[in-house]
Amino acid sequence: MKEILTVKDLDLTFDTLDGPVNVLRGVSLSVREHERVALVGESGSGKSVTARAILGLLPERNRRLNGSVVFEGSDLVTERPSRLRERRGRDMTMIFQDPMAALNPVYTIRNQFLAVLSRSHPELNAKQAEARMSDALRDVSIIDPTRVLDSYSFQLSGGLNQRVMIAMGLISRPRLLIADEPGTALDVTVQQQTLLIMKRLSESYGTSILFISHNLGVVRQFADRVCVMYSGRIVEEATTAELFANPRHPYTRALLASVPRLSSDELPEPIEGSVPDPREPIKGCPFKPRCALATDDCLQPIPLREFGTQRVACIHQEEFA
Amino acid sequence: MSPPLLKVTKANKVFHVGSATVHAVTDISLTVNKGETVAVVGESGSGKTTLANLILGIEIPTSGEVELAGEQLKGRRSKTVRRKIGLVQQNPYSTLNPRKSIGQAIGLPLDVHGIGSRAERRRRIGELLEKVGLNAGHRDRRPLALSGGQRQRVAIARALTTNPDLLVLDEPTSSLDVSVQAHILRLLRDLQQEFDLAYLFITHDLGVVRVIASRVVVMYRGRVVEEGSVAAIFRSPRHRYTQLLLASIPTVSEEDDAFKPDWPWDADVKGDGDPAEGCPFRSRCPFAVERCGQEFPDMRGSGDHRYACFNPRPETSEAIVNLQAEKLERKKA
Repeated sequence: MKEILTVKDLDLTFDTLDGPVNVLRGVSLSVREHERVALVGESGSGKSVTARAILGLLPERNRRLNGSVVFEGSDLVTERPSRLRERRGRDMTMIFQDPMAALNPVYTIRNQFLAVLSRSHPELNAKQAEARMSDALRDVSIIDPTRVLDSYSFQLSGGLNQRVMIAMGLISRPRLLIADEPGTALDVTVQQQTLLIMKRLSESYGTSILFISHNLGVVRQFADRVCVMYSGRIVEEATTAELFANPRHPYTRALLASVPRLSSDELPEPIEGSVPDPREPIKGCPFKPRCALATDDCLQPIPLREFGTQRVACIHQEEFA
Repeated sequence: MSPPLLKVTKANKVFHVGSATVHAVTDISLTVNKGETVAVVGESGSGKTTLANLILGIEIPTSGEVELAGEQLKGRRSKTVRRKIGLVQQNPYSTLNPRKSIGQAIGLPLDVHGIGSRAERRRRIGELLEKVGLNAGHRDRRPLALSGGQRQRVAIARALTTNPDLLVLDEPTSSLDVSVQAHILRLLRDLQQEFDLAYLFITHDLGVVRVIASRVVVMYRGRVVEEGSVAAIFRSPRHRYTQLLLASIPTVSEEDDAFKPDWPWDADVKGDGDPAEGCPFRSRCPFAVERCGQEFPDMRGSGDHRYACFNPRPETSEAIVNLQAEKLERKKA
């Protein structure tokens, strides 16, 4: 199927008072039409910053960005800022982690929703806009849209706020929705429900989703394809089924082993050591200091190798065979 | 038989907010024995933290009793009592003062309780840091120089300074990455074995409960809705809310899926409102019957597994239990 987003060799460095910080190193990924792709990794792995780089939401100062972000044929890295502003929030939207923080508490939901709606549908009159918003809220299983529109974000529960965010994110029928840890701030039961709503709507609207999460279980339920990030790099990419049935990269395996299981009362296995400091230059594989399979060859640059549809940045794949 | 280490009997806490009254905790009873881990599970607003505050003496119950090792605890507690209960909180980024060194943070309880001379305190701080997997060199560093996992280790060391019998762990791993969470869970288990500690483990994450606790108390809107051994509840959750909680766990393998009960996600429920009468869960419960709106059900069931539900989930059938066992066998093979 056609790719609508292609990120290629994205490098990102921030210049700080302590010297340059390497945040992303050669990140390449793609999202196809009607596809849900997950970026999974632990804090500091560079998932959120990748999303921001794609949307052009990074600060202009003290940053060096190389590589390309091609969205429906045009490169967002080099595109005119005015054109980018036009497309952002219309063809490409984003949902943030904490709905309470993303919604402004001094405006009603109606006010904020209208602002979003008028970007993609400036032609609507007040009555039409009201109807459009009510429909959108009903689509995310809100039974009483008028009450919700009249409310301020602090008067609604976290789950309702999250659904409002989803409705706003999808009102323009975007080609791509970037969801940064949606529902992580919510209770598990509510999270589950909102994810199901988002999945169903993205299917019926034909919206592709780039989904950012630290939770492997959520990713397994929600995504078609998964990219595992570690220390600013993609270390493994595979379809969801393949990744969970046959994880190849030692980091992916270690991460899976650290999740507590329902099927076992044994304590999960922690990963020894810690994430490398992004201020230090890294030679070769960033996971080497924590990896049981590591050898001196791991100090060489590690390309992504292909195994069927799976891509893995590890030279020790024979050992798993 | 000696009395349980911690016994909470029919505790209630009512807050008055303006003209409204909030029943944060209603008729909660629970016991924790020496060396045991009891998990308290529930979502935000279920009263977990209020319960912790009652046990710690931060709040005074409106009615009901809290006993520690057979001794009833009054509103104002003596220092000897306070020494026996330690607390580890959720967010290690906000519970450590960024301007104080790690040594000062851990040493504070020693100052408050007037334990040891300066040299002894210094030695004890070093000892505690090693117990939690750090080293004496961390003593002079500030929280900012530490990772989330390391800070949580410091918080645990601080909770241990006064040699408590009971640690109240309020979501101790929720703000950590999974690989770090696994470290902290191991540390907690090792410390428990070494010092014969009892844990009251407060969490919203049932996946963690399965591996760390021996008993579970499930709370909803300030009430206990189900309690029992971890084995019994994970094998056969009876209350519909527990069923929903278990069904919501994002699992990472097919073996784990086999242990999740079903949930009718598409069923129509009334939604958000919070009923004043009857079972508080009924507005979200597709299985609610008429009686659920009239009264709160009494606890039923036997000794090690009790639940408050008029229309409970049927017990997990032998067939499913066998299927689960089979899946596990296949995984091991």
